[in-house]
Amino acid sequence: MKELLELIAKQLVDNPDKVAVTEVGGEQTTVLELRVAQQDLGKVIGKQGRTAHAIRTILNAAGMKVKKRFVLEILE
Amino acid sequence: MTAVPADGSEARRSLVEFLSGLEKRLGDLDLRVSFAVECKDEHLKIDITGDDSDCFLQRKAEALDALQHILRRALEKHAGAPTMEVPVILDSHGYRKTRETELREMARIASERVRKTGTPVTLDPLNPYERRIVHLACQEHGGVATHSSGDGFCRRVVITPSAG
Repeated sequence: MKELLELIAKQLVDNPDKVAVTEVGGEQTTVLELRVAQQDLGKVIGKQGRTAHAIRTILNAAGMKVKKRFVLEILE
Repeated sequence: MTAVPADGSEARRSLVEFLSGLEKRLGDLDLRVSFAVECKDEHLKIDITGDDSDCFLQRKAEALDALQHILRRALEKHAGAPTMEVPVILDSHGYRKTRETELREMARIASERVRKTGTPVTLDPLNPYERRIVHLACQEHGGVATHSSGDGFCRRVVITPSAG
């Protein structure tokens, strides 16, 4: 899932080399911490959080077979 | 990946590369899906097939719309300039067409009720594309007027009796 999030994030930002994802595992929930360059924050969040919402939706759809919840946290 | 756009513009090539990366990553998560890109005049039509493509259609195809949004933003970035509306249409199992038929039917039934009872009907929240279909369908039926109210994800079409 980490790789999937990295792939998506790199498509959206101007500084793909600054994209970093860390996976914080839990029993049922995995937290994915996404770090991007400060000027790219808006790119991964989008107008009214639309892009962030879209990323979360994709992560949950992609997690269908692994039967886990994925929580996206966007950090600077 | 079953097809590559005939017109090999840089932005489109990047998008195709992104899609093949997605196929691979989703495969790692045990989801078998594949993306077929079809290049039409000014827009790209991308169709999702494969055993697990259903995962995009659950809950009113929210993942389909989510990925479509990401693809549009990605293409916008690769194109270098903020394009007004990047024409990428993501579809799977003919969902867009099925949904349009469903919405038109909903619009027809609701318009009829408004005409008969003379009281306005407010529909469930819809996205801009879906609201457009409803507005147009209601116009065809006549005798009613439509507008939208609410914000963002909660914006709904309201059908009212027309003045005439």
